Amino acid sequence: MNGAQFLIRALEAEGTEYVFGYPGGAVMPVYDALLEASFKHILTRHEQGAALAADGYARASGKVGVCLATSGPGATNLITGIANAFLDSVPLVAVTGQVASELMGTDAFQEVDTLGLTMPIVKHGFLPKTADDLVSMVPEAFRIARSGRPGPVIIDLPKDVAMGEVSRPHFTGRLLRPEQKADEPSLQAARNLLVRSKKPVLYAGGGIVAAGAESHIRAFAEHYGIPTVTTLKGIGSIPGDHPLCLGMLGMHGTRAANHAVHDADLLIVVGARLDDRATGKLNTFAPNAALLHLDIDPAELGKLKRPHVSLLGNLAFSLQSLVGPKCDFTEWRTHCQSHKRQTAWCYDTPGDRIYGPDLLRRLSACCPDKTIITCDVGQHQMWVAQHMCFASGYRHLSSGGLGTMGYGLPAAIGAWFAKPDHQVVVVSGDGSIMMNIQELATLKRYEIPIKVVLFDNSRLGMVRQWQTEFFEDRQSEVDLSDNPEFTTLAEGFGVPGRRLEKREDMDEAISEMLAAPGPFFLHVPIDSQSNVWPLVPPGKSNIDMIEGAHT
Amino acid sequence: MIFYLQLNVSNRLGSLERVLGVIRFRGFDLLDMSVHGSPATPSFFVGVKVQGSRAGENLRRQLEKLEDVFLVELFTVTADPIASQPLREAAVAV
Repeated sequence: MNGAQFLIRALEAEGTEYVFGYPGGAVMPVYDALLEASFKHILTRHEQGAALAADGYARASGKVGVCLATSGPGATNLITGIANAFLDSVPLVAVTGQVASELMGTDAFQEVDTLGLTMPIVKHGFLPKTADDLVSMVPEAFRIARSGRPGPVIIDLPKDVAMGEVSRPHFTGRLLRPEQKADEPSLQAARNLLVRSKKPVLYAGGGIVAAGAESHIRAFAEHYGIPTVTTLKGIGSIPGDHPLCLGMLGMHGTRAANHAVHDADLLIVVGARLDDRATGKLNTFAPNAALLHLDIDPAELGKLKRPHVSLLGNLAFSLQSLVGPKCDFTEWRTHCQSHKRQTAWCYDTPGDRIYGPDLLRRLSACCPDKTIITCDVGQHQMWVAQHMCFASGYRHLSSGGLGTMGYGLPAAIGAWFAKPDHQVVVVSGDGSIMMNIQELATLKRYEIPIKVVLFDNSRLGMVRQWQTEFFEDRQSEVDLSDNPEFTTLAEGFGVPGRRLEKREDMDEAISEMLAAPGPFFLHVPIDSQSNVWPLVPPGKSNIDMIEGAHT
Repeated sequence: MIFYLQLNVSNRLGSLERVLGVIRFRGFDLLDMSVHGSPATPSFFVGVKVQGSRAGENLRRQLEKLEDVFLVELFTVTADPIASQPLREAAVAV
């Protein structure tokens, strides 16, 4: 058994169902061994698509995503996807071919220092020197990717190692590291904070979804009746229509969420890193609140804001352990819920053109329960977060940390392979979709019934909005009015679609799209001056949200 | 602020590079560094003197997350006599 054949067996031993990849010179031994694999290889049309599809698979399934590419440009094309997984804490194992060991360091054809290039964006990187090294490295890579705070791991595999003999192949099975649990003194200190509080707010982050602690946070919130806000990645950890949910906080958060955090006397941050998009100006963020921070990653505790009490370890355990005698937060909760009602979204806009948020609200209502929405980055991404309702975190896949335009389509492909019984819908923009439009070919190749909703404002809308608001309306390189004709383009890839322009046709178009047996591309031109509101200007506090006209 | 950190780092491919990368990326300047170990030993003893405006404890926690790092100790800030010594002497002293 050679190194490549061992790699395939080891991936099988780890329970790999799908590998997303693209072949090339240095990785050919692996692709040869792949012919005997029990798992399926999904050929994307760009390595970035492979990495992002593996990311989408991992988020939707809760398992480790695996991607595969060759050396040099194959590896560099993976990098955006690896960074995306790193910043959003997604478990990923990326395998790259590398030139033969004797050629490494000679600037050989398709040689780059993949280990060095990826160092800042992986939890760890491996470069085996012999085929025998793979025996321990592959299970270690999976253990590291899935343990603690999840993240990506790279295995850079020289061609001679892939072709070398493994002298004593054996498979260790899944390695697990016992998770840390919060200690009792810290838990007691946290309970004391809760008992003393009059106006607590629960701040739910993406770590809850990663930890599988959604039921625990809901039970905790409901037990105490604590108003809850979510980060972008925490959306769905508590259902959007739950009476305790005040919506997303931060730059494009709801007024109810931002004001609740501002007025709170206790902020319970769970699985979140107090990202600048969520906190706004940090020294005026939650100015009256004691901070109780729960996380699995010790480096997040006190990184940006010193907690009064921190609970390091498994989130489900911490949340369960915090449940104690009930406190009466009725007055505070009623105040928050009343503010939420008073500041509810308004969908009445002038004219008969499509208003993006209105379409998303209707789409959300029409989709079956088992629906996964992936989105790209920009205005539509914020509209999805604001106006669609999610009952679980894995149903909302969004590039939160890196903000990767081009994420939506490949992530949807990965999500569909993870959950083929789900309706998967991509919401994208005309800027983002062009970043990975080639993956429409992957939809066609595997007959994946993903629906694409494309908002087309012929602009880089979010950049345009910021130039308007903060750069004296000096619009620089945001005009995309020379976009291709999108439905024709989709049809060229074998994906049928239609154009939706009038508000009165919205429901019928959504129905047609969802009823289509295969992939479908819905092209929705919208007003080029549409904005995302509210907006916290850069450097301002979250309660200094501004709001303009809805078009 | 000047900080002095002692690390026990696995003698594996790229381990020192990872440590230096974290120090740079997290906003600290390297002032001095000493490494004790050999290709035959399983780990290095590493001492670093760094300068930065952020909390040294945050850097310690980030370094501790590296798979190659077994132990990180944050010893002192500017005034400590150990931090002002050349690291080879400090390593012996500690």
